[in-house]
Amino acid sequence: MYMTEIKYLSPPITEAVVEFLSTTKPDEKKCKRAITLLKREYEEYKPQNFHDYHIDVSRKHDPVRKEKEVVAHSFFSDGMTKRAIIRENSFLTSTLAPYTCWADFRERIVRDRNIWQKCVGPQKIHRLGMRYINRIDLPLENGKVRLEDYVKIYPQIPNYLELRGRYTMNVQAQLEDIGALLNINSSTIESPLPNFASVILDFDVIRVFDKVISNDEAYEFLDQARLKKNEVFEHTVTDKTREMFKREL
Amino acid sequence: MSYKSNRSESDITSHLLFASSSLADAVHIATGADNIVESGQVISGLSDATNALLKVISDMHPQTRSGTYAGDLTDAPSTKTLEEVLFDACAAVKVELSWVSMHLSKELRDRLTNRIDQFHDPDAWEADEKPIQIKSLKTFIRWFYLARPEKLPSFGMSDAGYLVASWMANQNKDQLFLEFLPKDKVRWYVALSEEGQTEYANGDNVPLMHIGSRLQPYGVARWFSMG
Repeated sequence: MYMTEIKYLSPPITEAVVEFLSTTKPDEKKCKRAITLLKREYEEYKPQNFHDYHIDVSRKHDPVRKEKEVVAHSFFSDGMTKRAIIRENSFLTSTLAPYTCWADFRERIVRDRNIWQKCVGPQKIHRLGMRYINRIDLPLENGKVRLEDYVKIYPQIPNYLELRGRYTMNVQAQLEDIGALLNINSSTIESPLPNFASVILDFDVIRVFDKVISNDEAYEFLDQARLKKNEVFEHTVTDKTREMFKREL
Repeated sequence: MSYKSNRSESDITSHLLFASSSLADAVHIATGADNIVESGQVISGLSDATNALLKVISDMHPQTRSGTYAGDLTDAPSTKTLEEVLFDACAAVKVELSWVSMHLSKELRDRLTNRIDQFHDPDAWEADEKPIQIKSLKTFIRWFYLARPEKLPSFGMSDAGYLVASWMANQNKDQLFLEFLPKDKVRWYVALSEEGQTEYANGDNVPLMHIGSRLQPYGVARWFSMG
């Protein structure tokens, strides 16, 4: 049972990412064809180097060893805010703010995946991930902010200590109804606005598949994950925070 | 002395303060940020902001990060062409504006990005110019959020790559120019015309929080209000 969807005028989402991780690396020739077709859908294309390192802390001298270097293929549109990155067995689609709606984002994911699959053929999906990073800007009063007025995830500390400056925390939870793991990262960061403090609420929903799933099943999972993520988000903020997202610019 | 603007040359008084400044910071180009070690792999952030966040989290929880990749890939060291440098500068502006898009109107963001694209036209680029400085843009964003002028400004850019916002009133005789410097500092210039006499005033390196009170005697409503 999911909550009623709430659409905010000024959502705090700064970045949304969906990643398909397959078990195998596609054939290079087929991959090239897909890259050519994807270039047509995006304004910019950039091959970028990706370095894989092996770190062995037991080696006192030179513990970092470069294992390999692979090219990742990055595609950008709309002033770099719409992105797709292909590297080895990962296919990633992302969008920066302003986040319009899931329907728009989903449409691009499906479009890009269709192009990809048409060229490289079916790939077994090993893992699906959906990550939404929110930044909530909280007004300071006398240089302070009461976190509990705005968010429901924050560190509990003894009364005699006063939380000052930064915190970072990671919480993991099992989302039984969709068979996924939820990773929540929360931290304070420097606010881009004067007289504000900012809190990050980063939700990462991950599901590992042990059997072959169809495209429809993959998209169905993403739809469920998105609803579940929204539900969790609503439970982690207060009404006072919600009011800020309803503000028209 | 040169200054790119979306006004015609005749609108720009020649004695303005917005000449090339020696205060310029190093040119900011979107080249990705610090690397992050994750499960033996090195990644960096999709956007600088997310990257910074991931770095904080990664530093705190290096052993627990195994989630959905939200990472960028840093360019291999290379000599960029002018086109690439200018493109990257414009891209950095768009990403920065994206980061605060929930606080700025689409009209302002569109106006600013269009102007930034025009200022960074490779065909019109002068060798001694610097691309837009992101630290200057950050100061502008912070000032704009505080001041919230109803009338959007015209934009310009100094040779040093600092963003300039300007407003005109009284048939363009009353002028206000704000140049946004790094680290929340603002350079300002006012020209007021009355009965054929023009009065000038200016200030340099004014902290963002003080700029409102500095400009108050000049009646900023003439520039900022729609009415």
